[in-house]
Amino acid sequence: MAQTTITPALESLPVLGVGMGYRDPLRKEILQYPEGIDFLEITADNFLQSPNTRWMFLDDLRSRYTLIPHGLNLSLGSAEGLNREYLSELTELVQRVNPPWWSEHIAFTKAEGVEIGHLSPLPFNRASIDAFCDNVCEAQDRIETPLILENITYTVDLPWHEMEENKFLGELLDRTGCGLLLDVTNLFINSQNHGYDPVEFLKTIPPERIIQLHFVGGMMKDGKWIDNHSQNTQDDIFQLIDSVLQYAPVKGVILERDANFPPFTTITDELKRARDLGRKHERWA
Amino acid sequence: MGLKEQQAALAKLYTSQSYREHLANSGSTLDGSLELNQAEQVKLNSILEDEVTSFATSLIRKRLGQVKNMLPGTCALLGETLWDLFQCFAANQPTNGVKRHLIDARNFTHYLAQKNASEIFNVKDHKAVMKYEQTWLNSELSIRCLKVSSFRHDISNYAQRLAKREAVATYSGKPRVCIWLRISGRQQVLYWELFPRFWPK
Repeated sequence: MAQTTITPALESLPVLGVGMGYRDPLRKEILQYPEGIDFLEITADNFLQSPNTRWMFLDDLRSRYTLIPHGLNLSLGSAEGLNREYLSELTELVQRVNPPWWSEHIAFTKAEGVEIGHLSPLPFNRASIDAFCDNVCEAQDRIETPLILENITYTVDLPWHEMEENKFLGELLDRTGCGLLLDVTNLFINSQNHGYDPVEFLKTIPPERIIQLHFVGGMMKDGKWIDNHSQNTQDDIFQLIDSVLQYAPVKGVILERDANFPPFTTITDELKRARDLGRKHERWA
Repeated sequence: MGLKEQQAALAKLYTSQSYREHLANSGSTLDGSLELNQAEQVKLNSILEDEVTSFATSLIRKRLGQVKNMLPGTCALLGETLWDLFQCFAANQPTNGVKRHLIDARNFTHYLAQKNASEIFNVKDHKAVMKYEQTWLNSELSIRCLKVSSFRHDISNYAQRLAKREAVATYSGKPRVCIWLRISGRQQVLYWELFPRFWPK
């Protein structure tokens, strides 16, 4: 395991428990099920440049739950730097929500004026780490709330890799000082698609860095696993969550279902299963 | 080749079919922007057809998922032709901005209109659905707007029933005058429908 210094800001983050990503089509069900949801994650982009009624709804949600803003398009990996306008809007949102932390991805989504429209993996090389660290510094200058970074899936084997994925992730976390939002499903999918042991991978990450988890079901397509956020969570993924919760003092876990919504009882069953796993390892009550 | 150039090349590879095709066929790009050494060229060629194209297709699929939410009636009417049409539309046209899903959907309606909607839609009245949903998008994308459109029947009900994939959805009911009003970017779009109280059946 890599030796690293954990910033006090990460150690003092509160334990939030079990929650889910807020989605408009599930609005009614989410609001009617307060006892099973400890906190909500909101997709920041769904609230930017919105009318006042949307912001008022956000205030209402905040009065009921702790909210964690989750960004999609800051493009922290972009070599050309951040989009200042987007960063300003994101800053306004995070300040309004006043969360214990916020999150973004280890990815780039734009280059030379072209928006890719999705999270794209960075080449695992030093230039990527340097650019990423510069951008994180700029973001943290604007948003003082602790930032945690999420691992993504990758299917394209880029020609410019200089190191293994775990080395890249470890160095990036170490240099930025950020916590990790470990997407357990993405870890599972990458391990299947690239042929490694996810638990061995996990053990290369300092446990105190792992602040929050994401999970949802993955799906096989054309012989490869993909993360389309539209499936019920498989047992293999719950087993991996169990391993992560045993290994790391995780503060919260979020079910990240985006589409093909099942009956809400299926969602609550998955939340309960995650809660039970956390209780087993005394991560939350 | 620096990171900036690598990312620029990847962004184009993921979002432009013509760029991918040219690189695959000639080993160089249209604008000469991608200068690869031999090892990089070999590696990129090995992933171009399979991995990069798969990723590019998954991006288009993701965009289509969002567009279906923005144009539910129109997409329902396009049925099995939707994927081919959207793929042709999106192959060389990336999205942009926080409201890119709205913009993408609106641009798709422009594309459909240029393709001559009568060739695409089986029934003439279906064009009204696209006009109705397109006006909603234009209103949502405006900071201020007042838009008034007339329709031969109850267009909102028809679009909703199509969106729910109701097999018996028909364009019927009294004529409608639909009004969209937005007075500022911070206000939501206000919408009214006017129709005559009496109308012969």
